[in-house]
Amino acid sequence: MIQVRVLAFGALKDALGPNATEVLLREDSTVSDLVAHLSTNYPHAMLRGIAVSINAEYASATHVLRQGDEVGLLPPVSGGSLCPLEVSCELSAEGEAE
Amino acid sequence: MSGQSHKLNWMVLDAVADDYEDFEMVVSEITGWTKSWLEKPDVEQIERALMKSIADREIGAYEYSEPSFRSLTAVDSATFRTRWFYITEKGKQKLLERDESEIVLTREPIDSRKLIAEAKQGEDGAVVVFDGIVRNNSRGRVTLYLDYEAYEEMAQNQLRELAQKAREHFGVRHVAIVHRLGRLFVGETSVLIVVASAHRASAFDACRWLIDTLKATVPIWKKETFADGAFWATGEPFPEGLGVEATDAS
Repeated sequence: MIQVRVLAFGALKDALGPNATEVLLREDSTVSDLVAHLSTNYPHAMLRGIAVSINAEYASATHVLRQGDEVGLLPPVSGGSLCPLEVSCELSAEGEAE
Repeated sequence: MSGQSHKLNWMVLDAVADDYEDFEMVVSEITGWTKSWLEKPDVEQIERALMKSIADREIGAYEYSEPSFRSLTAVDSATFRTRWFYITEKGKQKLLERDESEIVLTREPIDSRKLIAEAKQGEDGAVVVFDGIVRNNSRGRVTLYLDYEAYEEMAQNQLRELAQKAREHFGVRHVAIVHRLGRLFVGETSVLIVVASAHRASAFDACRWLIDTLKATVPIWKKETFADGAFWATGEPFPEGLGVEATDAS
């Protein structure tokens, strides 16, 4: 088994609590294993549409967790309301008509 | 100092230096100097040492054939300001000045005027500013105040990365991003982005891209307190590649 430290942010704090939660997982568990585990244990947590960070960097669903990892559960961020224009995150995608 | 001659004033030191301490170590290895060399610079000595280091390594100041990611450090022989440069792609002389961006998360009010004044340098022709302020209403409700929180360590890194990308992609000289956290009232600045550049078009483009990307990707959330209740703002979905779809929730 491995233990990871889960930090919840934004609205997810209401479901998981403001402090870090230690979670035990099988070896070689992935980010999506963890999310599935959490949605069983915290049925009220809104985990759809979230992003996950490992040690303060965005991680994919297939990322394999390691002992001691710090996992961030990141609800959609909300720095402000967007205007109707499309947001282009990838610089290379700029100029591509929507 | 004209833009043309400015470049020539840069003495480039080949150094794989990832931070300032590392850089100081490299400099002292080459020159035998210690920390105080920046405080009492001797122009000729610095230039000789740096040019020698360039000659020794058979590299020109701006001609690098080495592949991969490496960094350089340079000293402005006019002002003795130390700057870092990155070369990001093989064969391309894409130079970034790492210390030319200012990334701050703060719980204090943002001093927009000071940040804008500090951004201006002789070689700039434009400063574009985005000043994001707390609006008095949202989705038909009257806003009393907002509480901003961040995953601070990650937000810092993300903002630094955005500033770097903006400088690289749009060719702007300077980016400052300051985001406030904690409780903010109507009219207060929550985020300030300052972009300084030789030309206005790139400054506008960079500033627009920075705020849009910041709002979609940097881990900062806000709880809105209205006259009739408080809610976490529902953000936009993450851009493709960042979101993690929950598997079967059963």
